[in-house]
Amino acid sequence: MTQVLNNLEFSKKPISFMHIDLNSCFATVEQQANPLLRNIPVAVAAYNSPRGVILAPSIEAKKLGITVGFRVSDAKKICPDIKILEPDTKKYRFVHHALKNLLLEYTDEVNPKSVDEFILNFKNAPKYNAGLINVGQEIKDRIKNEVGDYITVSIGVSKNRFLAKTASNLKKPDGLEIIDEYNYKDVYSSLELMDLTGIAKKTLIRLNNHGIHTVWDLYNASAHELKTTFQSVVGNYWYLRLRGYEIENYKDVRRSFGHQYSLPKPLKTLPELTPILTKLVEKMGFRLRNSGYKTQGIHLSMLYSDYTRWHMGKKTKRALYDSRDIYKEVIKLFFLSPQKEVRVLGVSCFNLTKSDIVQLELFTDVDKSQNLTKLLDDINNRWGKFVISPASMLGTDNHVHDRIGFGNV
Amino acid sequence: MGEKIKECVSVNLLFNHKKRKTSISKIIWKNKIYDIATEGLHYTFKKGDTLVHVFSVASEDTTFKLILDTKSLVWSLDEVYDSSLK
Repeated sequence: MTQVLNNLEFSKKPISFMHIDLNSCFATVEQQANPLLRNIPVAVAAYNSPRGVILAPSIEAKKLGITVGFRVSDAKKICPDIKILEPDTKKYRFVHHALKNLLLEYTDEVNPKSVDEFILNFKNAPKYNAGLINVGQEIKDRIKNEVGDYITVSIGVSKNRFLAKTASNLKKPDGLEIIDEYNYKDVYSSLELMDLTGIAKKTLIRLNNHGIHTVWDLYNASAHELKTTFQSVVGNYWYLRLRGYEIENYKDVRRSFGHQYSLPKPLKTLPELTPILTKLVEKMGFRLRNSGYKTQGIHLSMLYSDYTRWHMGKKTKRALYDSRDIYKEVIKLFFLSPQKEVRVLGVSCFNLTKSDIVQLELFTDVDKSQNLTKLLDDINNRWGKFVISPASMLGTDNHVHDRIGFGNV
Repeated sequence: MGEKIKECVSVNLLFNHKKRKTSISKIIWKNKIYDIATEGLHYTFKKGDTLVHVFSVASEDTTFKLILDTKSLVWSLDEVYDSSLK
């Protein structure tokens, strides 16, 4: 295949992909909701306390150098008057769905990458003939009129998903950019390697070691050179991606579900940790089942007060569906962990299979167990989360709040 | 970051049939009338099987987060943010 790729020119096929990114999503939505917070530095932090981590600084805060991951105390050193808010996930999800419904009027191939990012494929869509730059401007105008007048998006259009995302990153906030066969040289000359999604420090070092220091170097490297650099077919993918060919697997396959919680105060023993561990497992199990999966892999991780970390995962012989069964496996892992004060607790499940595949067992009535679990989920779906919950979860109302993880909705 | 209130309030809700838009024009809280100048965001969520409407609106210097419980049709003031306070 590498030989076939040599001397491939930039694709001349029509542009059909659009990437949309909500600028500073959480903070912008908060400023939309509260007009008195507009045009001033604002940040949404996991907790409004000095050690709280900033999840989303507003555009104004970013201009002062405050970025995702800052502690609240560090942000206040830069800007003492910065307004800090804790997340209100109901607002963000509402805006996400409002945006998604608007976008579905343009094409039925709308793929949310996270709560604030969408990728659209306009191939075969009626609006396609209007030209995607025109469509992009129309979408921006409609967002302002129909979703929120303070909400801005950066839009990129190009021949594949990767270049559409790259284009959306060219101007933030409020951009509308294109990468095509007429301007790709100028764009690649203006970018650093780490401006490209998928290139972080390790990959940068690898590329530099092979004499590739700029995006233009990367584009001009042959398919063979890239395959040697990456020592795998990934090299071919980069070769094709930069030339506008689509290679992304657009079928989103779920690989894991998980939840993590920073404890307000360190806890050590199982009785102390049980309520929160139960709630984490219940939340994870609910999402697992709601998405139509079972799991055959459980993972437990802990960050201790001494800042050391422990984690362990194991595959299970049978597919797990019921949160009680998942919890039993989590406890087995817990007993293998060092007995130290825990600051951050995380559970996740992997090795997923679709739950419509029923594996019958000799000693357990699988159908009855699954039916009961489904009934409990239906009750919780209808009447509110944790209307019915394990007794061991009592006292956790103010713990493990609803959060939107990166890359999720 | 606003002040949590959780009190019942009186609300003037207007529906413009030509624009097909709903907006809040006045709030009466603690015997004071607040004229609403800006609508920030109107969103909904489900609390159990009850649909709840949330209106974030602002007068000249105060933002109000109002909640309408569609089961009881009661309006409550959930939160207040006053920009004149530090």
